[in-house]
Amino acid sequence: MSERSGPSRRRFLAAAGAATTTGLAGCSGILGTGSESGGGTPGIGDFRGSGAIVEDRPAPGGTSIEDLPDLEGELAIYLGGGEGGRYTTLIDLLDRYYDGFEVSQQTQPSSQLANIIVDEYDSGTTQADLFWSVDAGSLAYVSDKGATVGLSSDATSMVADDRFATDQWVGVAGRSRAVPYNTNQFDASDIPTSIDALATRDRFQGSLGWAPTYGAFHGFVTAMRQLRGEDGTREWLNAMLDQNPARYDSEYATVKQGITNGEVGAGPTNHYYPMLVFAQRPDVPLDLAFTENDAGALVNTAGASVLDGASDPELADLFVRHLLSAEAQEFLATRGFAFPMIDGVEPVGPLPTIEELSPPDLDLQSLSDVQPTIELLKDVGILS
Amino acid sequence: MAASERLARLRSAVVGGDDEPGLSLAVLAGAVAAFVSLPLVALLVRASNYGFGHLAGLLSETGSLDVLLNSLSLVVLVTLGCVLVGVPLAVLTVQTDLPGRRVWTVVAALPLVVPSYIGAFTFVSAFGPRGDLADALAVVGIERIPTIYGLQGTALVLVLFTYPYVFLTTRAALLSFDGTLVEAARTLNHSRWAAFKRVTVPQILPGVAAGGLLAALYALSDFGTPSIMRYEVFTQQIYVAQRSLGVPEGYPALLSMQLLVVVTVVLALESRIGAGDTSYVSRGSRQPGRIELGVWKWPALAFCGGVAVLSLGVPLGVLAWWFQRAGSAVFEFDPTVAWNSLKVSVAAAGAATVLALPVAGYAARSSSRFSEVTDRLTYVGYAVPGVVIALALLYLSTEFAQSLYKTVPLLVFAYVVRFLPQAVGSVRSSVLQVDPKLTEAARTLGRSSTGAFREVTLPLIAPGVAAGAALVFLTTMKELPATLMLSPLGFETLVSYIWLVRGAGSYGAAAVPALVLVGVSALSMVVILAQERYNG
Amino acid sequence: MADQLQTTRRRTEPDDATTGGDVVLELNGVTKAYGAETAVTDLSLAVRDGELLTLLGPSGCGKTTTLRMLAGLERPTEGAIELAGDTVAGPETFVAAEDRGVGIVFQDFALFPHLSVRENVAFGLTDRDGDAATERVDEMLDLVDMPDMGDRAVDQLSGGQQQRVALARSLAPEPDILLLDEPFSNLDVRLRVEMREEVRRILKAAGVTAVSVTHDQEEALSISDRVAVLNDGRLEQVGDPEGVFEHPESRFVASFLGQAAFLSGMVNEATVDTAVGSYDRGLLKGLTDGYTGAMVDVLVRPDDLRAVPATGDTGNGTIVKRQYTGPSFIYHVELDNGDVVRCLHNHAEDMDVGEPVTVDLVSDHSLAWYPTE
Repeated sequence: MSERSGPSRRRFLAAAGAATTTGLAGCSGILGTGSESGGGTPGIGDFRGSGAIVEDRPAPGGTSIEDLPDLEGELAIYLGGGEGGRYTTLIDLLDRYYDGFEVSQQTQPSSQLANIIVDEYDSGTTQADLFWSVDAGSLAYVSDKGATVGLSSDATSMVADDRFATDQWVGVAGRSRAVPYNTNQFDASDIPTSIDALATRDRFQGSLGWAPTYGAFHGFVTAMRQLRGEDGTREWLNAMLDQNPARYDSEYATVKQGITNGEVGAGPTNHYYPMLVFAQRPDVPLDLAFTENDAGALVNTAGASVLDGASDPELADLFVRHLLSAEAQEFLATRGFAFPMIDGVEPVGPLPTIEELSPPDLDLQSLSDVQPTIELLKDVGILS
Repeated sequence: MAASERLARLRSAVVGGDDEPGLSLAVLAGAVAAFVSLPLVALLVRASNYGFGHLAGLLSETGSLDVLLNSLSLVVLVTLGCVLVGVPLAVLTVQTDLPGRRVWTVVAALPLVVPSYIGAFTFVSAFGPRGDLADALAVVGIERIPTIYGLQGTALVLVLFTYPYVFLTTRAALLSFDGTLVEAARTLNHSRWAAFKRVTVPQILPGVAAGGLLAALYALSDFGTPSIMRYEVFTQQIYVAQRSLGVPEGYPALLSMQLLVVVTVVLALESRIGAGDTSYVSRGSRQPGRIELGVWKWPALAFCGGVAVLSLGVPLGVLAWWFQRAGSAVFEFDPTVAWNSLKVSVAAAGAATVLALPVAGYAARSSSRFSEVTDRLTYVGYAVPGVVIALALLYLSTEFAQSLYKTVPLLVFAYVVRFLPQAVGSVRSSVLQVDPKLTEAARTLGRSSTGAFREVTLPLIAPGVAAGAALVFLTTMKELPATLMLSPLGFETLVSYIWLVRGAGSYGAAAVPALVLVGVSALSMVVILAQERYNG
Repeated sequence: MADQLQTTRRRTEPDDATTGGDVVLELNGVTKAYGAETAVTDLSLAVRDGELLTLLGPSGCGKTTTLRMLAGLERPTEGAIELAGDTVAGPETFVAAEDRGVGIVFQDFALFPHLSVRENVAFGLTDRDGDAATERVDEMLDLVDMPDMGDRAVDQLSGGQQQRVALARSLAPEPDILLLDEPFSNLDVRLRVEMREEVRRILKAAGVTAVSVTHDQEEALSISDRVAVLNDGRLEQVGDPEGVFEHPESRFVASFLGQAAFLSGMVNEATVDTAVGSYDRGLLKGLTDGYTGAMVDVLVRPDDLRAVPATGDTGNGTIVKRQYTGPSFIYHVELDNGDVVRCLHNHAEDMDVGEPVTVDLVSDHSLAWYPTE
């Protein structure tokens, strides 16, 4: 519950701002042309995102796709939330990389897919080979119910940080909870390092925005429940309600519409949303802050697991390894502003590395306990 | 009585009298009826497995009573709205001297052409919090507009796209209404308006009720609009509950049962109101004289115009706008999606037609109880919403037929269950128009009964059968909930594609498929109208 | 010239109506045109209090249009209509049906199917309150001889009963005049005769002035006080039934009523010579001197002629057709001069087609005649 303030509070985007005001559009990576190259095998330029914010990145390290065995055959993916089509683009790139590799996918919210996967497993009607979720909670839920088969050590060993992999699932794109804020309304020092302060400080009264129907928010609440228990979480939720926050459909909208336009001053969202806005418009009065050592600093991850009942588990496992390849991780880091999961790829410039953050000490597997979170949110009146 | 007598009685109860069609036809019809009743039976079995006590407990535990209230409010509001819009439009176009009556008649019926979820889409795009209207008003300084979401928006959109049902049935009632009655009333000291109230209205009430029923059933079973407009009603909740974490066991089944109960109540209500005596004593053909509007012409025109703008102008305008704004990107549309839609729709149309033949043929030619029952059973799909059929089939396949789970055949089966009534109705009225003496003549000239059917009946009913098939094809193309719930992984149709892109908010990509669906819908209207003319 | 004669004759004869009781309804030069088509031309007619006047004519003669104009359901293009002293239709006025106080019984009765018999009858009693209305309804049901049928549903009634209810309904508000539009055409033949009498009784008992419209001459002749014959939108003749039947003023009226045939005759000083014999010229009613030497067509009806089998060459005609109507035969005989006439015989007098016969004039009244055209 400490609150550090003062000039040592880092401003992330401001530092990047000056450098990026010069030239935005188009890209000229050293390797390849940047945007879709049309025909032929995609090169690194196709994977890497475009924009000044990603210029001058070194070539990614880690295992290259070329060094991995070829993907061959048909793969069916349950894709939890395509992140505005980004993940489908990555799938598309991998599809094009190999002849003789066909991939089909169905996109739905991760929690819905988790439910469907477990139902299908129970009735022996598993449809997909691979589950690619945007949050660990769903992955953990599915593995808890026994609907996954273990991943190969080749796959799991590619993940640099143990916190983001189990033998049933691996993280592929880290995402941290953060507090983006409008720099016209708040200073860096105004944003507390504890999530509780957000709920109790007067200065945030009537000035917060959130998206409580969003999956990542549920993950965050689940984390809080694990860390401080049901009652403590309930207290925090009620305190937040007293702050009279504005409600948005999604966290992206919270940032893009709410915070950027000054409708609200700050709010809890995933870290990459302010990055997305900032990448498009470097001149916005937007910055982000991270809390420390509490649920508000949770570092979650998107990830994948191979499903029990998959028609070709080896292919699915190999696909997971491709998601952890240098090119794919570069893709996720530069286009989605995620925290990469492998050594050799750094998060995009303005962002800190995971080591620099202070997430709470929490086993991500415990995020599988989603049901009570939904019930709690309904009970408190946040969800109907 | 003797056993043989009993058998004979049973046989005639089943098969009817001596001049009834053969037993094989009855068996076929019965088989089809049983086949399409499977989903409903499966649902009931599943619900009973949970124990009705458990389900009753869920009623209070969960928010299902709120959902019930929401659904009821929606149905009532929509039906009222449709009557308030449809009846005046019908009266204006049939009985007054409104300028441009013919044009307004066509325009008033056209909104049927827009699938309601596409209408909802375009409305949110135009009037939503970040829509075009909000942007336009923001320029003027108006920051917040009343939200399009929730009950008001859902009801508005549904009224705009289902009022034509009431419009068309009221119009038919007015056209067949005996104008002499109004003249008689006028000679009995009643002004035109008083005559309208006391004589015309009671006579057309059954017609209005029939249209209202269609609107009410539509409001109850529509899935797309409440989902887009974020209003929690049965259909939308069943869909969400079926796939969400944190949902108690049996909740989707409970919601489905509640929905079916409400549907039954609505059907029962209508049969009471609509059971007005249609065997009118007077059957004159004179139309009552035209009501002169005078200065009321202007408000009347404004009313007609306003409805047209909202129900046609907004959706078509928005679609055109998306189309134009997307530019060349519009054609990056993957044709496999359209191809998939076509495949399943053709399959559904074919299967429905084949299954409809024995049922309709039997119903048309037989007066036995059994034929009535088989005919009625096939109308299950008419009343049971698509989302419930899909849910039932999911249950069925996960319990008994795992290899069929989320496969194209299962999806086609869902379509067939839902739209079989259209094919049956169409085939039945064609068969009724064929004089049975023709087949008798063929048989006296040496043809077997199948031969007679093939060479005499089939060619004569071919247009009606084709119309039924076309109708099933076209309605399947735009079906939403079953498609979403039962599509195999990776199987994208026009409809699921639109649903997907709306989730991502990239409306421009939806422009072409949406326009295709509107075109398809328009075609189905043409088929219906042509068929009406054919049936006289 | 012949037509002019007819016209003058019509105009100079006094209209019976003006000599009878008060005139309740008057049409003056009423014309109704629909674009280029004229349905009614220059119709002038007066109806007196308490009488039953029938407009008789073939379909398309304008009788229904006239009726609708009287009811206020159509507006005359020219001319005026006066009802009970007030002008209800004229160049500057038009009183609508709901304000006119005219009752109408429609051809298909137009009973309100959603209302009971009692409610139907009470429908027009808008100015009476509950008790007064009930009383009046009971009165009307008594008048039409259906006192216990008040609560019946309309579709349970027979044709005759429906007509009674329709009558009761239009009579209840005490209209100045009652109009009947082909009132019996929806009933079967046997019922027709019975209902004709019944309706006349009801109308007379109610003391109401009535105008009926029909194409059935038997109906018109049997129950009306006066008959007005219309042809192609014009009034041909108006008068009491005997007068119109026996003394038709125009060829049209003559052929429309009864089975008419025409004998050509040559007018001489004292006689008129026809194919069936020579007769005193006084037989032809109203034949003036100026016609001596002219050819005329004499109107003969089947009951005016008898045919007797002829032997050898003595006959004056041959039977070309015979109609058996049950109680009688009507023989169509072609006379030597080409005229075809009809003879009425009772069923015992059986003759064959092709038989030569002698036709004789056996009428005991003067005959109508028309200049040969």
